[in-house]
This record gives sequence, structure tokens and C-alpha cells, in this order.
Amino acid sequence: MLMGKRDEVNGRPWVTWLLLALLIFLLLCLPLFIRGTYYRHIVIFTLMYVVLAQAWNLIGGYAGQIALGNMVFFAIGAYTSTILTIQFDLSPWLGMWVGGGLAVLVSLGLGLAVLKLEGHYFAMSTIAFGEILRTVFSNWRFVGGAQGISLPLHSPSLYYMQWANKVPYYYIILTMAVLVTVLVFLLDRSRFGFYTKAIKLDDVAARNRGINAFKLKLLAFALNAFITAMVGSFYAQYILYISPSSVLLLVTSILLAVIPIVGGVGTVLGPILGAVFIFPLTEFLRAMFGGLAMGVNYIMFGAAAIFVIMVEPLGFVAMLSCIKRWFRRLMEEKGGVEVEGAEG
Amino acid sequence: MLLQSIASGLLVGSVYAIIAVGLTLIWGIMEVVNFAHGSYLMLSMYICYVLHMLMGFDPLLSMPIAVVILFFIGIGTYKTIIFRIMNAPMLFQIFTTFALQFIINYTVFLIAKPTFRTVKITFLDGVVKVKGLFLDNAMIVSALVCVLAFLFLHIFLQFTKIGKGIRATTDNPRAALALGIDIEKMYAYTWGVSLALVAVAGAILSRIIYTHPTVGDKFGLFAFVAVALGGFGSIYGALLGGLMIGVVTTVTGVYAIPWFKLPSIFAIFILTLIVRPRGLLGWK
Amino acid sequence: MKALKVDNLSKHFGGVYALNNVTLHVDEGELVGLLGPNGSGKTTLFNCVAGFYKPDGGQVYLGEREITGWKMERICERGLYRTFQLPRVFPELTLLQNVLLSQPHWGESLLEVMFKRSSHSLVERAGELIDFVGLSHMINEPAGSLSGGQQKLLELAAALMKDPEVILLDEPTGGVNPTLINDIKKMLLDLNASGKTFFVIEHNMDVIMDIGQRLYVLDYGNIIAEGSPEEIRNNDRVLEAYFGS
Repeated sequence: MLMGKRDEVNGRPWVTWLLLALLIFLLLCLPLFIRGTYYRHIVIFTLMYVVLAQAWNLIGGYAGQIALGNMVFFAIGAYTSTILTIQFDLSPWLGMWVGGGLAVLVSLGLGLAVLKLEGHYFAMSTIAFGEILRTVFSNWRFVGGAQGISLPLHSPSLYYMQWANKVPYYYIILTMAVLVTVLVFLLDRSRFGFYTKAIKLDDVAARNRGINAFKLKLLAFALNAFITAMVGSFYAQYILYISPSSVLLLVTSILLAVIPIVGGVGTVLGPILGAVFIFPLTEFLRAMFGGLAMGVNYIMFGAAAIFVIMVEPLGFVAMLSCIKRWFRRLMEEKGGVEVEGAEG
Repeated sequence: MLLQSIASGLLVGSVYAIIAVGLTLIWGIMEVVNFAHGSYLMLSMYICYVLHMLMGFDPLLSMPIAVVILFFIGIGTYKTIIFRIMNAPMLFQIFTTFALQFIINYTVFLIAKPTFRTVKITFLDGVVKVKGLFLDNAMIVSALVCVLAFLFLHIFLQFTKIGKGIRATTDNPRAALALGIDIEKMYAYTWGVSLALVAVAGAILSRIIYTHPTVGDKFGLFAFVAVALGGFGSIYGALLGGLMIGVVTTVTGVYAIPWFKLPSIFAIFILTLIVRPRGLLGWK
Repeated sequence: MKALKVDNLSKHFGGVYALNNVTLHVDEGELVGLLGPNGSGKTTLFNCVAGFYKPDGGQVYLGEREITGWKMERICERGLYRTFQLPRVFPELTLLQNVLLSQPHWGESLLEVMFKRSSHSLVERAGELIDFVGLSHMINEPAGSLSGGQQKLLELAAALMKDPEVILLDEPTGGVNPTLINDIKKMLLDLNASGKTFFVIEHNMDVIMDIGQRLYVLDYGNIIAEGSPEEIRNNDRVLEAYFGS
């Protein structure tokens, strides 16, 4: 069913909490187990994709508008905090928020103009917007043009958010991932989740009940922009180099959409599953085939994505749900697991 | 001179027009947005390149071959993949054609490497002077080819059985079904014809620009703009849109900062969608 | 006080006038019927009043306020609720959820919407309304499992959840089985007696003649008659519209 996790509550909620606590504990200890620089890098990037996927989930999953230009917000975040650091010596910790705010403004502007458009057209205009920005940034000296900007080294430094070690970065992005997941969880089970679900089911009927669909979509879009920009700032601090070809690629914008879709849009777990499975996979594929056959990872990725969608359009989450339901039926036979029906 | 750039723009635009017409055919009949359109263009260019390398063919000569190959690829694409998403939510349609683009691009990437290839043919080099305007020979021929292609399309749609079937299905699929038209076949043919048109453009372009795995993407996007300008679903609209894009790109290239071309096209795109989503001639 | 007022409303599609200078009103507490043969423009009128269509001419007033051309969400929140001829419920959502969707949205802050669930009192109220229409036994079932008639009842409950000033019902007994029709009639009469204002499109003459206090008759986009059920029943022009001369 379209409801997802939030509809079914365990008869024994403390089990869920325990598992969650265990998970958090493991995650906090992760740097102890994973020591290689390369593997740590993969973990960090995966977590980045988790956050980005959750952000996209809000506009693409809940609000149901396929945005294919998210890198715009990513870039705004990255460039804003970077330029503020370089020009005004402002800590990226603050610059992040400025970038986020700017992204929100841009998303509101764009959204007001374009969110009223129907699916395909909205998607295309986000693509167009992304391409416009990419070309502009590639030719604009202030932001470094096509060469981009290399961040001046300050490491290690808390103020400048730079470290030689990957571990601090890991904890930062982990915190973001947890926060964003909590946010999506809260949104999902609140009226936001309720109303957006209704809008997706029948837009006109929802509006007939007085729901302001446009406002909700705008909200989702703005949230998406803010979160994505924050990750952009983080990225800039992590990689220490940003350029239009690394932060404004159309391909990446699309990837950002594909991950939550394959994982399962409109759910809390979906984007996490999507990111956790897809990114490391593509990375390993790239490492495996790298020199011999570049691009194979993309092919396999594309093919696998199509396959997943054909088999289970609702993504990994739905696949999990099937397994869970089967499992639950098993449990019910042993007696006494309650399934609560929820209201909005 | 303004007239000069407009004239060149129209010639360039005819190529955009052909690509756009292919896109709008698919959109018009089955409301599927083919984000992989540009990739097929790229395929056509590679076909011409290969034939040039192997047999020394001028792409204009290889064109019929490319057309036929892509026609069948089009039908094949529909029958293997597209038919599955005909009734899927739009999210999956967009997603699938995008994935298709990925797959095609990177498969070619794999095989051909990202090397930029050229087809060097001097056959139609030179310019001709027409009423004070200097027009590139090759472009004139290309434009003529496009006009011919368009005429063929027109005749095909108006007078052949399949063509009429396609038109009927576009107008009213249920009625067409009731009349005994095999809609699935019509969809497949439409994909074939659409890609055949793209093949024409590819052959022309392979003489002019570098061939590499992602060359088609930009053209695919431009085709969208052309279709939006002209109106989704309208063939003449796509034609008009393509020509307009050709003119805009050429004129901005001459009179404004060169890199303004892309952003201005996309800006026009967004504006069109906002202000006049129906486009100039569209009915959706 | 006029709860709903329509002044010279016109709507055309291409060259065809679906509504031609329609003027009518519904007073507070009335139950007014809208009749007319098929294609006379009844649903179009509802569409224009409720914000589905933008009228091409004329004005619509809800109480003191002009609402011509407003978006349907806004009109709904302002106090005019409209149901559809073919019930437009959310089949995948439960009855409770369907009704809860109609909770007042006007005063909701963004933060509330983002982080809070529907309040307990609202959930209770939804339950009461579902009980009122006699569907309590199915409150947690998906709305798709209801029959057409039951879905109409659900729509009514959803309408009442909004506590609107005027309720527009489009064929409330259309396609409903006879026993249920009587239930619906009784419900509407009860609600009207307690002060609810209704504007009802109805094809079923027995029903509307029974419960309607005042009727309008529409034909080809024009109001051709207005009056009590008695008057309408004997109006030649009306008979002609329905049965031809």
C-alpha cells in the first residue's frame, strides 16, 4: 500500500527503539571499523547522497514534482560559503546558512514561476534552469568560471571546517543524515505527509477540500533547496575544489532523482536504501572497470534502475514491505502482534 | 549583418527543426517525453562516421542507411522498453527515457571512447553568394535535405496507410482501436519514423561538428525547446520552433557574448512554458 | 442575508454559451434546488461558482464577499463546499482519513502542518460525522470498498467537516439505491432544519420536490423558471424543456 511504514506500528515499539539505538551506536563507531581512506570516502559520499536523496524525496516523492535541476541548489550552497570564506573570511559554519538561505530564495522564485506546471514541463524547466546556471557559472569570472575555485587550505581547523583526517567530516555528514531523516520522518507522519499523499492521489479532489496544494509544493521545494545547499557547502569543505563541471552537471541532478526513486519515493527509508545500495555499487563498479572500460558503471546503473522500476515501481522500500508483510503474517500466526490503523 | 545571421540561422534551424519534429511526433501520439532523443542523434552520427572510415562514404550518402538502421532501432526500442511504460506514472516515463539516454551514451562511450571524431569531407566546401548573402554550400544542401525529409514525412502522414493510422491514433486512440487499427504497431512505427528523422539530422551534423558520445544531449535539449516554442504535439510548430532556435543561436552568437547562446535558449524555454504553455501552434 | 448570490453569470466554450446571464440566489438556511434537462449547464454553474472554471462574465458572492474567479481551495476555505456528481473520494485512504482531509485549513500555520498530526478533537469530530451518515462500521476501511451511494454519504460527511456556510450537492441521490435515498433525504432535511444551507442539483423529481423549498430550472444555460415545487411542477415552460412541446 501507498502508506508505507508509518501506517503499521509494532505491537512492541521498544524493539524499534532498541534497534535504532543500536544502529546509531554502530554508526558512531564506524570510523573504528573502517580505516581505509578510500572506504571512508565512500561512506562519506554515501551519506551525502542520503541527505540529498531525502531532500529530493520531499519535492519529488511527497510533493510529486520531478525536479531535475537540484544541482543548482547544491552549487549555490557550495559557491556561497566558499566565496564568503575567501572574500570575508567567514566561517563555512555560518556560510552554509547563508548559502541555504540564498537557495531558498532562488527556489521560491523559481517555484512560483514554475511549480504550477504539469509534471513533464516542470521537470524540463528545472533542467533548463540548471543548464542556464551551469553556462553562466562557467563564464562568470567572479565565481571562477570554468576553472572553478580551489579553497585555500586551513587545515586542521574547526573554524574553517577543514581537517586532514576524514573522521570529522564523517561525523558532520552523519549528523546531517540523521537530522534530515528525522525531519522527513516527522513530516511524513504529520499533516504534511497526509496532505501531500492526498494531493498525489487526486490533486483536484484535495484542492476541493481546501488544501492549498501550491503552497505545500512550494514548501517542499524550499526545504529541498535548503538541505541540498547545505550539503553543497559541506562538499566544498570536503573536496576543497568546486567547479561547474563538478557541481552543476545535469547527470548528477538526474542521479539525485534516480536514487530516491529506486529506493522508494514518498517514504522515509526509501532514499536511505537507495543511496546505500546505489552509490557504493556504482563506486565499486567504477573501481573495478575503471581503466579498462569507463562508463560501464553508468550502463549497469541505468539498466539496473530500469529493471528495478519494472519489477517494483515503488522501489526498494516496497520490496522490503513485501518481505515484512510475509514476516508479519508469520508472526501473527504465533499470536498477538497488533497492527494499528492510523489516521492522518 | 543581421540579415546574414538570420539567413544562416534559418539554415542551421532546419536541422534543429527535423530533430524537433521527431520529438513532437512521439509526444503527440503517446505523450511520452523522449529524453533519450539526443542519444539517437549521436548514434546516427557514429554510423555515418563508421561508414566514412570503412567505405569512405560521404554522410549524405550514408544517410539512407542511417535512416533505415535507426528506423528499426526505433521500432525495437518501443517494443522492448517503451511499451512497458505507456501507462506508467509520468515519473517512470521520464526516468526510463533518461535511463535509456544513460545506457546508450555510455555504451557508446565504452566502445568508442570519448575521442572526438570528425568526418572530413571537402565535397561541398565553399560558399555561394545569394543576393548579397554568403551562404555555406553544405548548409544549403543540408537545409534542402531537411525540407525534403519534411516533405517525405508530410506525404507519409497524409497518404500512406501507416501514416494515416498514426494520425488517427494521435487524434483519438480509442476510435482508432475501434476502427481496427493496431495501435501498438502505430506507436512502434512512430518511434521508427521519429528516429529516422533524427538520423537525417545526424548525417548532416556529422559533417559539421565533432562526433563524440554526448554530442547529442545538447541537441536533445534544444529540440525540447523547439517543441515547447512551437507547441507540444504540433509538427509545424516544431518546425517553426526549430527554425526560431536556429536563428536565435546564430544571432546571439554574432551580436551578443557567444556563451549567451545556451542560456538564452533555455530562458526562452522557461518563459514559453510559463507564459504560453501551448506554444505558438500547439493544442495541448 | 443571501448566503450565495450569482449575478449575470456567463460561461462559454468556443462559441457555445453553457451559461447565459444566470442570476440566482440562495438565502441562509434555505434548501434550494437546481433542475434542468441534461446539458442545461447545471454542473457548469456549480463549476463556475466553486472555482473550477473562471466565469466569462458576471459575479459570484458568498455572503458579503465576492468570490468570482477565486481558486477552488480558497472558495472552499471561505465557506462554500462542493460535492461531485461522480463521488470524488480517495479510494486508497480510509473513511476517517477522507473526512479528516476536510478539516479547516485556513488557520493552519506551516509549522503546524509540517510537524503536527490532526488534533484529537478533529479526529473525534470526523468520527461523529461518519457516525451521522451511518458508516461507523467501516470507519477504518479504505473508501474504495464503499458502494457508490455510500461514497456519496462519505462526501457529505467530508462536507460537514468543513462546517461550510453553503453546501453545493451535485446529484446527491444519483445512482443510489432507494432505501439509501430515503436516508439521504432525511439527513438533508435534518441538517437543513438545524440551519445548514444547501444548493442541490437533482434529477430525481420525487426527491427534490419533497425537500426543496425553492427551485430554479435551467435550460440551455438560461434560467427559465423559479419558484416553489408546486409552481414549478405546473410550469409549462419547464415541462416543455424536459419533454419537448
